[in-house]
Amino acid sequence: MPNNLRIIYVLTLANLKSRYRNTFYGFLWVIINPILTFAVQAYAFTIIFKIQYLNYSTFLLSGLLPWLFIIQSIEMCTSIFVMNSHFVRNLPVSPLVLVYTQILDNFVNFLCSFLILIVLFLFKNPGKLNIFFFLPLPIISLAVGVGSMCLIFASINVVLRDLKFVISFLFSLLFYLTPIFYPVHFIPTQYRFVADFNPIYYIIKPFQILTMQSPNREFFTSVLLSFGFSGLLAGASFITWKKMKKYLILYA
Amino acid sequence: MLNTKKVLLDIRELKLAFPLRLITASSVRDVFISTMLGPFSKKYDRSYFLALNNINLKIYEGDRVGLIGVNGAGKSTLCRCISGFYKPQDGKILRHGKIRALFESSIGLYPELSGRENARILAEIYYPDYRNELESIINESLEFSDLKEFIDVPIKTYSKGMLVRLTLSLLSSKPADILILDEVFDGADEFFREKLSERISKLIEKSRAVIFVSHYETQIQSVCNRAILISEGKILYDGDIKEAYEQYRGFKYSEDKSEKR
Repeated sequence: MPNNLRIIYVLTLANLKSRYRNTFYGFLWVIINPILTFAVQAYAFTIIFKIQYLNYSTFLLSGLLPWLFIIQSIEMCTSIFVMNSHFVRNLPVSPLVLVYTQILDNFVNFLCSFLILIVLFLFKNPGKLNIFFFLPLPIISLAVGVGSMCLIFASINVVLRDLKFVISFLFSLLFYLTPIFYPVHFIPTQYRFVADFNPIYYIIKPFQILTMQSPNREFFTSVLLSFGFSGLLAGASFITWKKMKKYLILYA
Repeated sequence: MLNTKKVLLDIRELKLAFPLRLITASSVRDVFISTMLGPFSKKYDRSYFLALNNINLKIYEGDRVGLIGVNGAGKSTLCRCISGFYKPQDGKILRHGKIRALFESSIGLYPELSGRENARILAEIYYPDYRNELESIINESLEFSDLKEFIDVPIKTYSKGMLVRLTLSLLSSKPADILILDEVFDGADEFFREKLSERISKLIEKSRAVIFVSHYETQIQSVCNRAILISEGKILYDGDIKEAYEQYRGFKYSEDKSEKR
């Protein structure tokens, strides 16, 4: 186990180096994606659609960045065992290392873009400095949830090779069903169940409450629910991995 | 005569089978279509391919074991079982020492990173017990690889042969309790193969036991002191190298003959 942790560290550094091409501009290239996505969506919904919601760009930012982290990690991890079959079949390291390395790599990118935008947000709202103290809670839950989902999809993808495309399609639908670019109260009451049954929303909601309101009772309830969901996912990923790992080397 | 040498590896009644159903159900689309056509009509395929069957084997200190057999006989599968990659359905593998196994002669993990950077990552993976010596292991290996100015160039620009040089130079640096070498000379050019075989010979000398897989009789003859003939996942012969090859040739001859019929 300590060796696997060391290898995760070594491979994450290598991943980051490889992605950033060892330069600051490489780093800039990676974080420019979420920042541009945010800028374009903010422009589309505030200027073109003229959405009536106070501090809309802050609201959008708080949901969009965790969403991008989720979607990028899932896209990169789902076929990771198959894409790296030489690693799985030949190297004396647990294949789990591959998944966690990729998630850590994405997590560093997420944190960097998140911090840059949060600092900009604090310039605009200097009174909201206290959100920094509470941010680690939803961030930990997000990381656990994403790690678990990635492990589940990556394990199943070994035997169902087109899962990556199915997941990508389903998540593109889920983007419209998750209150990310519209607040939950925009949904008519009779359709609110769509959000209630949306697992991703439970992970994103605490970010939205924290940035739009304050660390209130609703925030802590949403954090609890978020941890509950991440915990369930972690349990499911543990069971899936236990069942699938014996097939991994045979079919990766 | 009773063998008093220390047992480093003890394999008892090992059995490994691959479920065939996972090979056939290979996409969500297939699952969807077969479910729509009739959810209860499809019978669950429970057939297995028996890759290793009732393997009993002891490897002692000082053993240099050559595994011989035709392609698909189960040599690499046995090595992967011993290394812990495959989990057998039945039987036990008792390991009394650390195992280092080389299955691939060219490993390029990060195409964007240089040969030196990739060598460092491989060293971290393969030599966790030599953490304090990693720098000297890497430098010595890179020197041996003779890649010169290409060492600091991204490996995406390497030819297959250059990658083999980098990988094998690094992975042949340190001995192990049980060293498994599975067709390690594959892909190396003639000149480098000669240079490498000297280094591998030293590595084998320093290791406590070696399992060596090769299709070349001369390599087995020069490296090993014991041979095991494997066919269809079973051990057919275990002992003297000459005798093993005689049986191998006889077995191949009879197999070829029956195929022609």
